[in-house]
Amino acid sequence: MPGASSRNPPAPRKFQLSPYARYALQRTLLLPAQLLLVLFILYMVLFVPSYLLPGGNPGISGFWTGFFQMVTNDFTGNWGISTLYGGVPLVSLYSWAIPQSVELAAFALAFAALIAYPVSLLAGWARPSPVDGSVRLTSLFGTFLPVMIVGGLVIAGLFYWFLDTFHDIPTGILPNGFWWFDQGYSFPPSWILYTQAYTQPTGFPLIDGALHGAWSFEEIVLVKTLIQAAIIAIIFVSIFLRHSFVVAREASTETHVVAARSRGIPDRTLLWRHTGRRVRSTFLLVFALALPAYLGTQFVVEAVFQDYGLGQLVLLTLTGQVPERQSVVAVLESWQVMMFLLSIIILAWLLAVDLIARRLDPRPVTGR
Amino acid sequence: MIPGPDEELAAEERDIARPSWRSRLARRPFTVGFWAGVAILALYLGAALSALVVFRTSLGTLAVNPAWIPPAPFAPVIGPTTDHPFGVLPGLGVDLFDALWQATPWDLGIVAGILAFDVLLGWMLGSIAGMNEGGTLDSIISWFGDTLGALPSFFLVVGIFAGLSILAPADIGLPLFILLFGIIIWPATARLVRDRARTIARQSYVEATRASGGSRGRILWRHVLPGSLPAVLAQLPLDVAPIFFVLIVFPWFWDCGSSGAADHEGGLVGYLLPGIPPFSPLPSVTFPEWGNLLAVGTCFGIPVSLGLVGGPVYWWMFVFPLAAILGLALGIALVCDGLHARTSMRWHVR
Repeated sequence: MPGASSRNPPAPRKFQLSPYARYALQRTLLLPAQLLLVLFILYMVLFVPSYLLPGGNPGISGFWTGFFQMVTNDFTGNWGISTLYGGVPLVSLYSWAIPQSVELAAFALAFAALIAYPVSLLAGWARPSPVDGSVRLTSLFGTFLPVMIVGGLVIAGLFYWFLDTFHDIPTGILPNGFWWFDQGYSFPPSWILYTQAYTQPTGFPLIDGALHGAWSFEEIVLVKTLIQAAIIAIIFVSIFLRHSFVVAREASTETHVVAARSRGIPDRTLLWRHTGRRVRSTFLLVFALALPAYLGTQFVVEAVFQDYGLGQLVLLTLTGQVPERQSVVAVLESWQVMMFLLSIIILAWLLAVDLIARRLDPRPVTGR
Repeated sequence: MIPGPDEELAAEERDIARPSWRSRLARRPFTVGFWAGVAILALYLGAALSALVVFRTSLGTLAVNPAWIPPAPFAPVIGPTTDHPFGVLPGLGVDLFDALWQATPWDLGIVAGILAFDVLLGWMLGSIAGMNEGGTLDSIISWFGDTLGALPSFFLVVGIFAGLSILAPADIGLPLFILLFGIIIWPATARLVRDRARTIARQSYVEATRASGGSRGRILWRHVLPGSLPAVLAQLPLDVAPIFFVLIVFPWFWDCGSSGAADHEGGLVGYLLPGIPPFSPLPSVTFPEWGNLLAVGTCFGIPVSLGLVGGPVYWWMFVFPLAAILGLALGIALVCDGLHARTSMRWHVR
């Protein structure tokens, strides 16, 4: 090696992060700052007004002290108590509701991805074609379809079929209490807390049902989850289609695809491997960007189906209060907690997806 | 006077250097879809203008017939007839055709106002961020936009309105809703515009402008803003959906989720009455607005919403308000897609 000898060994290489690791670090370090801004917005919008009320929580000793107190309370789970559930801590209510919502979200997002990814690829590839036309139409109308109408019609349409097939009604995620009597039980099993529709030990109904070997319970929960997930997916398939098929169309004309085609690689491979790789990162980004809208949609579906999830808590928070000032304080405080939780989910999701998408993007990284 | 050959040649050269709108239109005509979209939007505009004349004395309040207020089975179900082409909406007690017509100027105003903010902020800030990729301005705009985008619009609007219902109850209303929603909705547009603007900022013709002494303002105005218009046009139709989502969900949660069974004075009436939350952007439940009409129509038209599973479905109560919203969305999407096809560089090449 020029310039190196036994007397002058080469200087040890300084530890250097790869560009990707540097980007990931930068992006992760930005997260606390983003969360801080979100909390500050929430403080200004929801907390300060609730303190200014006569009858609001007393003792805001200073603007920044109040902010610090709110942040501490948010992170330590000191969220107050529910006036609607006879003084149950809000942290318990959320811990009962979150697993059901997460389980539904997992199915709905998987559903949407499984449909939208191949269809958008095909539509972008074969343009103009009937597939392309249908995708454009679906992507337009699907986003505008109010889920409360679709959900209501599905419940009304499936009611008697569900009753005949499962001896249950299509609302809720768990089978209704009377279903157990129909199955020969004198009362529902002890691992289901029916007042909160909460299953033990994990809170995820499908997992808990499997752990207890309750297979007919599993069947009903799965069917109900799939119905609700399909309704939520209608909206998100439309959003994914609108973005992804444009990228698929552009990707199909890119140099590497044209070059691969000229080498005689079959269209099938070009579509699923070459174009697919390019679409995957955009698909993930749309997944992330659509999450705030997704959450709103899922909550409405949960409220329509009367699930005991986060949607039901939103509904109760909005409608359970009476127009008295003391109750508005409770609404503001529980709304602040709800938004705090949602913001954490969204920011973490955005970060994860941003990092994965950058890893998946096959385009050369220049100027970034 | 007949122009001489020199004059004709000069006119042709002028046309090549700076083509007139006629020659541009002749070279790249608008699509059929675009003209269909223009026709739909013109129809809506005509309906809005005529509503301003017909309902001029009571534009902000629906004409309620007390006999139609109770829902079935307490009041007769009136479907579409010649007297009531879209049927009657119980609960509110209004003729649906008149109500939708009366609501047209309000909804067009709401959508136009919010989209104007969305375009103005998203297009401008996204272009500035893209032009300054990696710079301080880009970092600030992207950070702020990403953070704001992390707050679901429905929850943020509800939160802000609930807070304002305490601090400044008199200021809550549609103008504030338009302003707030416009401010909340721009990050998605800005993100897409930024992506396109940073590509444009690296193009050779932009480099040439810069090298020949073109100011940053000129580059932004002449190259980056026009070049990133297709991104705005692609996003704009999608931004109409969350506006109506919020306008429907506000009253829907209240109508279908509240325990009801009491009139506005607290007396028991044996059926649900539509209402709006105390922190709604609408001044009253009888305010003509498509989202409000659709929410009430869904609650009373699909009985499952009221817990009456297995009851009849009154389709007209939700189909017509939904059609009004979908029609407007279709018009905007067709016009945007038509403009997108003309402005996108990729399409020009083809």
